[in-house]
Amino acid sequence: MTAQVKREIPSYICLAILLVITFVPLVGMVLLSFKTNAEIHTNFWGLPRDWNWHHYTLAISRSYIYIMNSIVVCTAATAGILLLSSLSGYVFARHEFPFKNTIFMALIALLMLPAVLTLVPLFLLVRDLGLLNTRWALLLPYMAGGQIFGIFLFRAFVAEIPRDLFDAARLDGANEIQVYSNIVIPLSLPVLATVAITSMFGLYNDFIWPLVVINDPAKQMFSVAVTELANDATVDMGVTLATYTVGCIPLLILIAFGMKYFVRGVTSGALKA
Amino acid sequence: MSSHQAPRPPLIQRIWAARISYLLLLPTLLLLGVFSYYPAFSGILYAFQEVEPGFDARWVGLSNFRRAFTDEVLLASIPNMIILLVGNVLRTTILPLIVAVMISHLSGARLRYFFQTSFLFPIVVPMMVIILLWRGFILDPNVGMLNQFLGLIGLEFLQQSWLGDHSTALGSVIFVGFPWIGGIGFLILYAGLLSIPASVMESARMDGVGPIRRFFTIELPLVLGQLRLVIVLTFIATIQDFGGMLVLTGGGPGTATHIPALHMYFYAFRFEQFGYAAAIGVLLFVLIFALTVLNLTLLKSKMED
Repeated sequence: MTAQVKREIPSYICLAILLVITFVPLVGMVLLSFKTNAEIHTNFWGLPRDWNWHHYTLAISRSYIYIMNSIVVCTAATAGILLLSSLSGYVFARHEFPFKNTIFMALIALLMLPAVLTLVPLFLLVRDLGLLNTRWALLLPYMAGGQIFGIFLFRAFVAEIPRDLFDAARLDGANEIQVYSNIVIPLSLPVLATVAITSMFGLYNDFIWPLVVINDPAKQMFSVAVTELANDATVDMGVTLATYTVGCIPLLILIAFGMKYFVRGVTSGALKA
Repeated sequence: MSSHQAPRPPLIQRIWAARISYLLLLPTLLLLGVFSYYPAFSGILYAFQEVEPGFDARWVGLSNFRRAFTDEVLLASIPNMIILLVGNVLRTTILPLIVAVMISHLSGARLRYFFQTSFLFPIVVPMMVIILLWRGFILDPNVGMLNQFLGLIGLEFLQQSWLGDHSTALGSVIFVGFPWIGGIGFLILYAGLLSIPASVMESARMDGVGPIRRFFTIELPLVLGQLRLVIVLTFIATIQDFGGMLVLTGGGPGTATHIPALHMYFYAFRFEQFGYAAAIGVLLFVLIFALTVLNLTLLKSKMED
């Protein structure tokens, strides 16, 4: 046992060093966020002499609306993705109908469709539909694209649910909607959580699409708005850093509740590889 | 309930019988039809047209593509993209794989979990905030941590305008996010390592296989599938994601960090030449497709050796 631990010492040292380097920018962000510009120049590495909490009140007041925009859009899109992918995943797993495999292959093919091909035509479509600068310009494409991965997960998961459960429910006279809401949904809560967390993460971080379809600053998402806030030279650098820190809070909350599901979401693609 | 030996009813009848299935799929198919399939096809059509605001679109044949192959700025951006492809594949595979291997061999389950979670923790920082942190507070010539650190240890002569100088800009872009561990690549590789049967590791230990040989004879071959996935994902992301570059350098100085996807963005959303931009999008799609296929076949044949 001691020999084992001794052999692992080099690993511990390497991992510890890499971990420190990983955290330097994050710790630096939080510590520098309390400092005035003058202190950043004179006391870069030390702890803040004064903890300027008012940087945070300022940071919240200038970023609040964008963070709320992001939360509203991410939550609404994720709700849509959950509904669509659970419903369609269930149908693909449990229903038999002509062209089922053809339709499913047509969905899989979309995974090979990179955003770079559709960015310009999708923008022109959204413009021609008159949706530019509306939440629909974000929500509809997010729901369309985000559901594919969810359909995969749900299809695989629902296929594992014992057939007897479905047969018993049908014998009791349950209709499709009842089977879906009384059997599929309660049993697939882990999949729901996985799809919800992964899609929230992806959408909160999305930058290019809101950048091109939203011009109205009042409707902008945090990921885009923060690049404007970063260029605002009228506030102290500490306020800018406090703004960054505040922007981490939604993802921090998400991870606190769902780290396990995030890991599952990322690796569920890998185990097929 | 089960089907008897009776002849199958005609197709149209079976479709009608399954109408509820189609109805339940309708929202999915409608959204994908409008927002995924339609733009994929219209994008290819736009590539052969001139599409500018205030004018009717008109067919121009191959001229957008011909223009792309003679566009000097676009051509200058291709070597940058190749350097980024190589750099990004190295940064999403080497250190994440080494760290994942190290963690997977730690003897305490709690410690393994601690390291896995800690390395993953930075994902709570939005991607764009990471980019802005590196631009404004690490690589910045005045208040940047890197120059501050070089000053602290007496290496002032190495201080640089990292993103602003031709010779260092592209390298600095690749360096962003160092040590590059907390991403999904790390998670995928770690999951792959954990799925190696304990008996394989045990018999290697019995045979006295050292860590280096164990890595090359057991772990690397067994995570090749995951490695392939990480490389494909990195290729795709490098070719099409221009958001980070737009904010970090805007492609500059000059064309030092310009990449084709950024070129497409500028032509679509600054110059509003949508046809030309769509043609660049089609070319990048073809490139992604070719690299993905190449990657799959190359690494597969290597695995079968």
